[in-house]
Amino acid sequence: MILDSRFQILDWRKGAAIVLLLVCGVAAAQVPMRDYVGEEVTWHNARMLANGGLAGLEPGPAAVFGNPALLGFAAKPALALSYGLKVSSEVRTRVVYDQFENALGEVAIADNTHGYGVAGPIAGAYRFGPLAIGAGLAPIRDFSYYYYKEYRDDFYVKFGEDRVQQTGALYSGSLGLGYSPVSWLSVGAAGGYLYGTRRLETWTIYGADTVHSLDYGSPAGLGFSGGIVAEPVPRFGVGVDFQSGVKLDKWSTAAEVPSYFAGQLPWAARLALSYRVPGSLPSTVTAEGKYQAWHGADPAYSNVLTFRAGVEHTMLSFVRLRYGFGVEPMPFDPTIQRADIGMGLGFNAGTTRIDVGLMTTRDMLGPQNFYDTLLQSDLKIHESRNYFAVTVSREF
Amino acid sequence: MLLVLLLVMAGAGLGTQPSQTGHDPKSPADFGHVHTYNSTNQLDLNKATLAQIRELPVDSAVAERIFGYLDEYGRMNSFYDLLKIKGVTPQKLEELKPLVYVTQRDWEEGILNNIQRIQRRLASEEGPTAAAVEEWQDLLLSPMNVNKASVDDLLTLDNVSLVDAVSVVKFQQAGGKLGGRRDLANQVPGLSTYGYRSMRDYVGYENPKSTGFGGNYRTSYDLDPNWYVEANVSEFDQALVALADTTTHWESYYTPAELASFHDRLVAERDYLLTMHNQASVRHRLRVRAGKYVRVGGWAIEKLYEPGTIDGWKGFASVQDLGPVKKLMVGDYRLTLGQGLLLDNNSELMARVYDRAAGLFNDLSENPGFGFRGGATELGAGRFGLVGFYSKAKRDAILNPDSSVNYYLISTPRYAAYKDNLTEDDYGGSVRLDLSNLGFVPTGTRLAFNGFGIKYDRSFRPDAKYLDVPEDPEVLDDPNYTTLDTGRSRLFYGADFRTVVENTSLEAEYALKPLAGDSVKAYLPFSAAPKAYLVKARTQYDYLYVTALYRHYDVGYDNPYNRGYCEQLRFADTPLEKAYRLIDPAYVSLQEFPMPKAEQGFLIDTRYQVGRQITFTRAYLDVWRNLAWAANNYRFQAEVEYQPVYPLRLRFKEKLQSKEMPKVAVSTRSFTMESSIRAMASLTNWDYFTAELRHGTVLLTPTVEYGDNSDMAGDFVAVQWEHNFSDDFNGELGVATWLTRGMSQWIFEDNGIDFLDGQGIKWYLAMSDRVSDNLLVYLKFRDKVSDFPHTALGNNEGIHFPGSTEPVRDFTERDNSFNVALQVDLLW
Repeated sequence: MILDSRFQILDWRKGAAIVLLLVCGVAAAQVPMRDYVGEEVTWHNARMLANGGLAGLEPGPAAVFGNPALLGFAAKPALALSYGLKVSSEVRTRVVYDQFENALGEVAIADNTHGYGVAGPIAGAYRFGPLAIGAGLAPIRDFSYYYYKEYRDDFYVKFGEDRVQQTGALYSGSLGLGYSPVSWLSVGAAGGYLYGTRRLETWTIYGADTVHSLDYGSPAGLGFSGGIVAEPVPRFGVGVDFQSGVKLDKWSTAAEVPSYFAGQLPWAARLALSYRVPGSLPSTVTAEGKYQAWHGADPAYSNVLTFRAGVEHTMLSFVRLRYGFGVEPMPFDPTIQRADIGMGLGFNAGTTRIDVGLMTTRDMLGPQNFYDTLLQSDLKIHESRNYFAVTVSREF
Repeated sequence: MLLVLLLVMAGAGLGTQPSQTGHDPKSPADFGHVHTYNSTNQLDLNKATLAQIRELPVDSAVAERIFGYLDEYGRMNSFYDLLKIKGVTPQKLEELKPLVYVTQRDWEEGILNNIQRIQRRLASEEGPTAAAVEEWQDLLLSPMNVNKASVDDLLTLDNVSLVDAVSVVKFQQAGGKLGGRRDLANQVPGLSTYGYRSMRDYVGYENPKSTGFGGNYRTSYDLDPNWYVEANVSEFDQALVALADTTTHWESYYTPAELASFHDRLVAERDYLLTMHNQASVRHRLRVRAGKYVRVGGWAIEKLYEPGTIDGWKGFASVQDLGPVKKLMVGDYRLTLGQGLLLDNNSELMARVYDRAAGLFNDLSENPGFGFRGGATELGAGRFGLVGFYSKAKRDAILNPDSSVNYYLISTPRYAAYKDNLTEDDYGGSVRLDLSNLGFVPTGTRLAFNGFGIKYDRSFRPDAKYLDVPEDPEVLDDPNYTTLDTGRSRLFYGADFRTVVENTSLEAEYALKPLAGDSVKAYLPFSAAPKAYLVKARTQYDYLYVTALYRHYDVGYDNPYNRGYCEQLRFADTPLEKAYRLIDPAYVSLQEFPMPKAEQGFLIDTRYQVGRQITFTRAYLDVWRNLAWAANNYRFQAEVEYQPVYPLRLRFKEKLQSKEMPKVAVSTRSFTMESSIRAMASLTNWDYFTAELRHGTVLLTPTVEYGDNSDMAGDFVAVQWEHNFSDDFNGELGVATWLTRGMSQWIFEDNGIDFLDGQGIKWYLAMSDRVSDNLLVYLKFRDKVSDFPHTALGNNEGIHFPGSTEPVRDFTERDNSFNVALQVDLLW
């Protein structure tokens, strides 16, 4: 628990609540930092997910959320719809000791698994000669988190619980333009209005006493992006894009204690390289590096460089197999490097394409990686997240 | 990371045909023109441009489709691939037949394709060391010319015996020349079928084609949280509690300053472990071939769980095959002489492995604790050969309070208290005499005299007092520890010999360690100086071999570079195995120190193919004595393979072992029985399926320590399926489930071994993808869930969480680990 000047203004009732919270293990704000600021949605479509979160250089309507220059390479008008599912599992463990302080083993004190559906994005693109316009609506940050722990006595009668629930998402309504003056070059720009809701509620119930807290906000802000994509030699593509930082207003509008997160999302720059490799299994190899300047957005965080790479094979003329890999350092603790593994399939049926993708990731957090540091210093938090998405797209 | 990104793109791009876009002129065939190709001037479709294809008697749409196919797929593998093009009928194919041809795939392309597959197959069946796999991988990329290879060159290959190697050399000396695999299989008298199969992937039949600038670069990322960081934190907590326990009277054994240093060190190590919640590492390796003679290479590792950017690096530059200079190497290298009794600076010692690749090699592996860095050379002129080397390198070591060295320590992680505590100078050499065909002496006979010296910048003084907790019932008085050397230097001398008579080989090595001040007599073979010797004989027929091996390692033969054949590591079955018996849990790494225990034993090993369907793939009996305790042990293992139909093999294995674990307080004898059945099926298109079922039981002499737990068992079931989506892309899926009750099991998994404990289930998926002619990607992830039930805790009121009175009931500890490995190979 970070005890700072915020607590000096509280009255005795809240002081008692704090004692209760301390006694019960402190449910308030037990949200991993990654989820408090919103987990970046890297699965704008199933193809991205299958490639380990790689945005890539494939033209399509979803480019309006990534590198808008790709709109300039969209050959035909198209529409894409996606739906995703996130299954998150968190196990918290502590070490058990005997009376001689010998460690016996690690026991799970809380084990939670929850699924969250995420609808979107929906995006479309239309071409006017060398110009293309795209528009879409997509979730770009997901705040979903759930934690639940019961307290039971020796007779297994429940006498208390901790519950933390955070919901909401940040959406981007984006509009973009891509211009391709020559067949091998395109530039683009997009602007987006970010809006959403986030709601963090915690309950601590201990006997007859209940402590409830609420942190609610309607973050909103404006952002823009720009990019260039080129195919300077046949089969080889390179793309650079820049996304501006976004100051989110109303991050926390109803909270008992002010949030110490400024609600500022960092600017980011990305370089992607792609190559179409001929062979008995024609392939496209893509790799990208994305730099996010978190330190400028919030001094408590560090700038991070995320690396992703993916391969797409044409197995049959209408079937594609994809797999990918990503390493993603956490800005609040860069020593935590999340490895993402994805794979998936794509099916062509005339002008319609159906893509399915799956991505999995695991990491381990410590008590210091939460919005408010957890009390038990020996806690280990094992997290695994699995994502699944389906995208249907059609050209006209 | 961006450098890797660029290199990946380069790999994908190198060697591929650039696409050629063209405008759309009509094909001459569209106008009824006569084409320019004929039976004496054929067009190579795999190198044709769009304009050239248009010259064929096909219309422009078909020509574009042919070109589009080549653009997408890169090549045609057969002339008949033209039938896949819409518009090419059988009649049109007949018309094109005299006008075109299709070049076949280069052998180099096929080799890269096989690297991962062969590597994984080797690891799953024979368990080679990482260093050996590195050597074979290089040979897959740059095969040796079998028509010029020496006996020593051929002996570096896995499962190639001395008889096989000498057979090939005899064929060369008789003027024979091998032109391909068929020649190798059929024309070399004395070369066994097994030897041929072990050799064929690593040899070529002329000098390597590429003599310009070439090489390979590998980068790999490993996320492996399934190692002991989490468990060890609690061990350090326990050690601190033990240190503070006043009932053990530590103050009567150690000074206050010593106790304070123990405490500070334990706290520092525990806190260091607590920072390690990211167990990923990144490795880079580069090997470059510059012309025919020069090789350079480098290796670096970044352990993301340790501070610093680069946590280890290596490099070498070498010249080879330049007149009398067979090899001249500067940088990091590995050196193995004879049977490894005198010198083998690998960090791995696999028990029950008696063949090794001897010689001088570059070292771009992690090889913690034993890497040589300096210069070495191997010269040869006529019958004489010479090896000389020098190395100066730092070593991690445990220091006593007086700054002398207690012993080496190779641990993960590398704790600051032990890091680079010792500087070691190594020097020595070997003089060799090839006696082949000297009078009646057979081909392949060689005698070598070897010497090896070590100098340290600190004195060694092994002292159990600073390792073992005081007043502990298990005292560290094992002679394998108490007879360890003292002083600042060591010297070893020896000789090794080999010969082949018809189909029988004989190899031997003798090494001794004269003590300081000894007279010349101490150097004689039958002196009292500590010594080690090994004799190995092998008789080989096409479907049978029998190997007999005898070894003897004196208790006082303390040579940290001894990697001779053994059953047990030096500090196995000693108190050094148990962290709670040691002042510092980090010392438990000593149990893995790769030096043989003092033992004396006889092994007989055979492989016999009874018929087309039945083979005893391996049967051996090893009887050995632990010389420190005069404890007798034996181990018997037999595997029989039955092949009822061609693609299916069933392998049955039975192991029986009796081993005495001499301990002062609770000496016990264990008897192990293990049975396994494994089915292996080669399916269509090189798909490979294996399933294995294993059951093991260990019976212990009932003791106070083990109580009722004198009967332990462990079982597992595993299946693996390797599917080839194409020649270039394959995937492997494996699933295993296990239940152990005191006896842990182990299983081959992909390129290594995994240990199974508790009860659980795991699965892994590995993909090997040859993306282009120059780029190979390997990706693997594994999920493993192991449960460890803890029961009957309700009766114990002392069970608790730290700093809490919350009751703890019976629970199951679940260890869920997720491992990721990515490897990218770039070849040019």
